[in-house]
Amino acid sequence: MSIRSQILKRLITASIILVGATAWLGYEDVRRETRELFDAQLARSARLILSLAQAQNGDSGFSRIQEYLDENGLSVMYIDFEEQPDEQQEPHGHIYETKLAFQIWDDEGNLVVKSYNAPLEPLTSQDSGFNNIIIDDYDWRTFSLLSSNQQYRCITAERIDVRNDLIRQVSNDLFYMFIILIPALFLIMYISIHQGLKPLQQLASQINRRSGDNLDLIANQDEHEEIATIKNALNQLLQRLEETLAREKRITSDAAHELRTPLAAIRLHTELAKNAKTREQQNESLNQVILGVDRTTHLVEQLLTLARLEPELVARDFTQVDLADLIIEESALLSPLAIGKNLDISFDNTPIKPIKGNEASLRILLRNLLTNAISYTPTGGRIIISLSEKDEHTVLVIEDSGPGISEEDRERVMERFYRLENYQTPGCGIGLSIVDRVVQIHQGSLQLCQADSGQGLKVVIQLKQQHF
Amino acid sequence: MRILLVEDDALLGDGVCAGLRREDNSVDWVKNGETALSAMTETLYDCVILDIGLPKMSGLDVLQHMRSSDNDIPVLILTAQDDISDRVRGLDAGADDYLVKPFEFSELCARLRALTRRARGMSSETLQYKDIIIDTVAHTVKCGNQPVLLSRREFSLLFELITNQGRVLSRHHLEQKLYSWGDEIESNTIEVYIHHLRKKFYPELVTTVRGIGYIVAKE
Repeated sequence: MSIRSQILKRLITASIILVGATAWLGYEDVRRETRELFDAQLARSARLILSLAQAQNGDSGFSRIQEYLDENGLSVMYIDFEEQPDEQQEPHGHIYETKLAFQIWDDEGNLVVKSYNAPLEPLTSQDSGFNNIIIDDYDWRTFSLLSSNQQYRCITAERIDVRNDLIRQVSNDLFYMFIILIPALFLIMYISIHQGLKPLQQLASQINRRSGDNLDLIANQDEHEEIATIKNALNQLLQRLEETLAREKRITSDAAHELRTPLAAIRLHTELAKNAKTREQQNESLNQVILGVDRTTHLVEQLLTLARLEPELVARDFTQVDLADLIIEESALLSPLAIGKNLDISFDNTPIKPIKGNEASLRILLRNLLTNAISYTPTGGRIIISLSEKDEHTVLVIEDSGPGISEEDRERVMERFYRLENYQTPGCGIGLSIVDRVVQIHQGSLQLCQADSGQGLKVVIQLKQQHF
Repeated sequence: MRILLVEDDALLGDGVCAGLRREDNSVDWVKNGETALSAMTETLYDCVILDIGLPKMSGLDVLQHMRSSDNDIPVLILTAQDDISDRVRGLDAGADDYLVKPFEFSELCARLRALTRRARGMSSETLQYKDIIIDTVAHTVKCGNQPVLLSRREFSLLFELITNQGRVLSRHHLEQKLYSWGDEIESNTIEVYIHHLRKKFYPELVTTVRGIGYIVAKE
């Protein structure tokens, strides 16, 4: 579902509800106010008629009023509401007059005065206040009032449809106003949303026009804050993507070239074996072929390990890891090698807090460091492993009594495929790159220095202790 | 031929060494650029096989160093890089030829022979001096259509003298061409081999210049 139709749908629903509620409240208000107004008028008329009649001195006053009413043809007894009074005859009248009536009764129950359209029976049996009655299928609203001396009762009445007419009129006007207003409102909403979303569409077509290998940044001079935010985020993604791709490309290219040397060696020794003049020469060359294949296999395995150490993938799989357990397990796995060289491996196992990390990659890190230490340390040497805590960091130290790494080489050994000169061990130059990558994924630090004894390499790794 | 191999990879270096030695060459193998440069100042090599990807001092650095100090020994570079630009850079730096890893050993040998032949101004694989015909590929020698059996060192000595005909070669020079490092050299070996050559061909082939060395007269 598009954002546009979503916004439009919500706005339309909300405005229909709001406009409807406003109309309803307005209608209710008009109805209530109209009733109040008409009721007030009804009461005031009753009071006015009663006080006028009383002012005319009792019965004689009433008869004069009746006379006046009769003279003016207003005492017609019919209550015929469909028949409109002639406007010509009644220049000062109003069509609503036929819907108004009144009666004055005395305390003996005699009808003293009445309007022409009032019946001879009491309009209401109620002594005072408002009441609703039905006369000839019409709803009437009545008001009864007793004179101050309790002698007369005045009843004023009004057909309810008079007020309903007014209410209907007002609400009709409101309704027509909304009928025009709502579509106009929708049109304005639609146009505003359409215009508002245009930059987004432009961005989409800008991106759509790109070819797959174009990782150039998107020009960002947009004045719209929202679009600028999206573009910034996209640009950051593009940048990361480009870095990742460049890294992948470099690894692939480096790896391919690095494989050429062992392949050249394998090929050469195979040729030598084929053309050997003696059995001895042939065996010697074939042994070298096997060595070359083993070395190439190791190189390929290390490359795969490096490729699998994708920061995003590994970081997704972080759990609580007890480094001490891993050290014990990995050292146990490598102990046959160490025993073969009569190495003294010690691990100072002081209990420390577990860290948050990726277990598989931390195992790879330990395996590489321990393998390095074991292969570079001469027979009878020692390897010291220790774990400690410092400033919210877990510090792993692996120290060996091998030849160590000269200061100038320490930087370069982290580079892929860099191997130390005159090495005696079959390394492929990726081990420390792998270790470095794992440390980076865990946002830690890796340091190479001289062993405390002055002879050998000391690897110090600091991993941040993350709280759970 | 006396060849200097500069290769840091143990397995490949071992293979090239073994192979070239089987082809009757004297090979010295060093694993870094600095040692290569100092070896060249001490020994006269017929050619150098130089790996580009060396630790610290790269093969190209070695090459530039050599050429800037007027060392014009033929150099064949071994490279793992197959981009044209890498080869061009190598050749521009003064290499005479290049080979991309992995390579066929016979091709390496052929290129080395071609390099030394060019350096000696020869035009073919066979070398003729009077009625002596030397096949540098098969390592066989004929004298007046009769095959002559020579040992590895006798062959190298004959080759060296004939390619330098008309020039007096010192005993030291000949020793350098015949032996690689670590070979035991007895004090009178060159005299012994000269004696063998005179016996297998004819006595006048090599003339002794007393106190200086040996010479094969210009044809």
